[in-house]
Amino acid sequence: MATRRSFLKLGLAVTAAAASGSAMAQSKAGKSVIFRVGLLGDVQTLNFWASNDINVAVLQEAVMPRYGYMDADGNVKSRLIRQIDVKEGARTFIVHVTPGLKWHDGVPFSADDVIFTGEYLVKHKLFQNTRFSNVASARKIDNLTVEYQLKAPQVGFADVMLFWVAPMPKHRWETVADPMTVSDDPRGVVGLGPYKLSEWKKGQHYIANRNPDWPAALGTPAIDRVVYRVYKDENSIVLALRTGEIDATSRQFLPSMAGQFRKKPEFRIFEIPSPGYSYIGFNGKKSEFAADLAVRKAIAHCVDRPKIVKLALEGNGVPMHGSVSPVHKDFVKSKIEYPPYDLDAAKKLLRDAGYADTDGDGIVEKNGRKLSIKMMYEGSRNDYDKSVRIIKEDARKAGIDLVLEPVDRQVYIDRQSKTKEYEMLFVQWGAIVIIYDTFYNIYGKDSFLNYSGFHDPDLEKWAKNAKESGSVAESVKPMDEAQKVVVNQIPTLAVWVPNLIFVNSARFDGYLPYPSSNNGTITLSSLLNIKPRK
Amino acid sequence: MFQYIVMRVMKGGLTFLAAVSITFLIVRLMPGDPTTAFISDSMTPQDVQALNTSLGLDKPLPEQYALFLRNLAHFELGQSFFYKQPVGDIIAPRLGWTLLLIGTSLLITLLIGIPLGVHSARHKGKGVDQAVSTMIVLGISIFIPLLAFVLVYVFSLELGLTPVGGAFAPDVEDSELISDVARHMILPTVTLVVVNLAQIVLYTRSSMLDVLKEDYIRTARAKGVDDRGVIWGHALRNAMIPTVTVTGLMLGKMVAGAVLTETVFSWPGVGSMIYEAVQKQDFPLLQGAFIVLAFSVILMTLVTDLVVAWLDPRIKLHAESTR
Repeated sequence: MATRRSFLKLGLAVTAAAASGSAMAQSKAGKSVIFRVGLLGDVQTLNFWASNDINVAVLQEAVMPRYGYMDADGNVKSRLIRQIDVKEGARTFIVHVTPGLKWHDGVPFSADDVIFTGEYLVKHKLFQNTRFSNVASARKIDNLTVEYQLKAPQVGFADVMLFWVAPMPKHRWETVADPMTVSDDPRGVVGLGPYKLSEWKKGQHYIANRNPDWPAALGTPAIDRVVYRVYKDENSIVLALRTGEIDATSRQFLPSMAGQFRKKPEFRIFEIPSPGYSYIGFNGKKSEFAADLAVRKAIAHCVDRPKIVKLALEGNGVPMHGSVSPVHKDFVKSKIEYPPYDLDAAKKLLRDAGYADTDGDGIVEKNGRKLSIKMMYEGSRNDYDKSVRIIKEDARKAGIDLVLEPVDRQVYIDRQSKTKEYEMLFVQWGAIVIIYDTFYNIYGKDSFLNYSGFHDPDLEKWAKNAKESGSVAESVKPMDEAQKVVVNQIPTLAVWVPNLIFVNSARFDGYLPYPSSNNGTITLSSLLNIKPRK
Repeated sequence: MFQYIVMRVMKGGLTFLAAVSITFLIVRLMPGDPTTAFISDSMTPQDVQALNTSLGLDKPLPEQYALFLRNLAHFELGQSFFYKQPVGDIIAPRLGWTLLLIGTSLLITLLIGIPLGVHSARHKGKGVDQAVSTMIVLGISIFIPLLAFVLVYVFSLELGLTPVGGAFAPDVEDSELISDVARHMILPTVTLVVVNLAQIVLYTRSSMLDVLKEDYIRTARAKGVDDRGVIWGHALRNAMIPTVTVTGLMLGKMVAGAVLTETVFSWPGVGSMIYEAVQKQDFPLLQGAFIVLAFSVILMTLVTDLVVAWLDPRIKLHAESTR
């Protein structure tokens, strides 16, 4: 009996301690406005320029934002840079730094930092260094102005720089010889954003407090403190959101997962068109059938996009009929589209190209070989798996045997990017943002994103022309011509644009979901706009 | 006794060498390679090659292994591919959290399990014993993530009594840290206790049943020693030998269980770090974690063996007779 009483006392003591801890933690919050963000997995590094990790990007939005951002209409806007003047047919760019900005250690942000950033990224091959690969020279005009001379015209240079690049504090990095090995600067993190990173415990949390030096002209945040909590499991992060332990997460929700938050007034659901899209890629170097235009066109006729979106994405996306995502409104007005879903047309194309089903098994042959192609994809992606199964089913009706090859992510990336050991693939671009600039990176002869090494002189010419146009408006025509080549030659075959679903607490208002963001509503624009709900 | 300790330490050393060698090979047999985790549209094939060189992955496997052993001898666990920090610096703060969780769970498991096993043995066949037997079956067969999620769902979501994850709230004051950590520890500890309790109860109960049949127990009773004195004074020491042995073995299982438990509860220990390192294919970090954990388990097994030898002098005699 005495033992039982002792256990009871111990239990009560732990419970009391736990309860008091909870109450104290709440009272400590006081009247400051705290916004809690859940991260899935830890932040890779606090060296923002040496990482493409999604959690780093989320933290970066508050602490070390990029020069600019993309608005809800898909237009790139300036922020840390006030304006960029384009001159001499997009060969010269005059960059005007936003006045009044100070680094978190009080040093003014200047033209020196802008020049240093480009040079340092290129010199040390840090992430985003390729954004400056066309730069011939950078010259300081005055403390707040820089002139860039490009090797070749590139209208997208300004937007690319604004959207992708975050400035580096020259005074902190100029003495660092090997930035790739730097994770945390022992002197602290010096950023330029509206929040200063004040405390972090790796694997646990990161706390950013409001930066009083942030210019009011760029927007005054209503949130005093942003707390990022690290969770290791996707289900845990969902539960944390449901219990109110966090207010938002940068993780996308599957439609089935988002379902539990619908019709609950304490949550807000945002469905944002993704900046990326799924596509089928053909590798003519590994398959004679993938190299055959008739086969590629026949497969294009077998893709029933509305059905795939309905079944594979549970309706959570839009069919992509052309080679440019509908997110880029100015570049899809001409409605240049792939061959439509038409199984009879597919059969005719194959018949005309000399394919026939001689043994009656439903699969056509040519030169004694069955039309069979392997399609590789990440097996863990349910949306991919469902999509390729629908395509396979329709392709079979047309006489094409698509052999599905679900593989592990690491194997997939290895074979796609390194060994190129695939015949066809199904995958999704994460973010194609500055389309008139990126088109050449996808289809240019030696471009890194042109995984199969597909080359068409006309496509090369028009994509290059688009990239080197004098203005964005001027890039529309060459982009149209390039799109015509893509839908006729079909080196890749776009399928769908998914919606990204994000769930946030309704305790706050003012979330700004942008189509350009993979971080959901945890963007700088959002953070400057979010307010506690009255 | 000295001879016995030397033999056990040597055995432990060999086990450790085998463990680190297997660890080295396993992480390299995983599909793909770690640089794929870093590849982005900003990197050219030349960049990827340079990354491989900088990480030492372009060297032949035997050379990588020799380098690995040499560094290990100097207590260098390498640089994390993903975090770009020395592995030791990443593991050190996390090891404390894992030891705290495992240590607390082990202590509670023993505090509950041994008396429960003894009680069950003393009341063999009765209601309590049958209830304990049912609990043993459930405890042995339960799947950790399932139990963990049920606990979170009930206690965090439905009842709002416990936090979902982490070791403490980010904005907690230093003075409240201990109580906040205690609060965060409740569910992961309960999970580990539930899945490990069954073994302790099972072994204590069986062993106690055997010991209670021994002549010296009958002698003690004949000399008028009361039931409490017989159980706790005479039977328990001998009955503890299998329990202590299984406790040592259970540590390995607890470490494995910690990977799942820490992940579900976002506990910032070595277990959840291993989970992330696997996803990122961070070889050095995985190696480092396995080495540190293997060392801990081997050390604890050694301690267990010494405790068993202390409890049962015949073990030392056996070691000496086999010289």
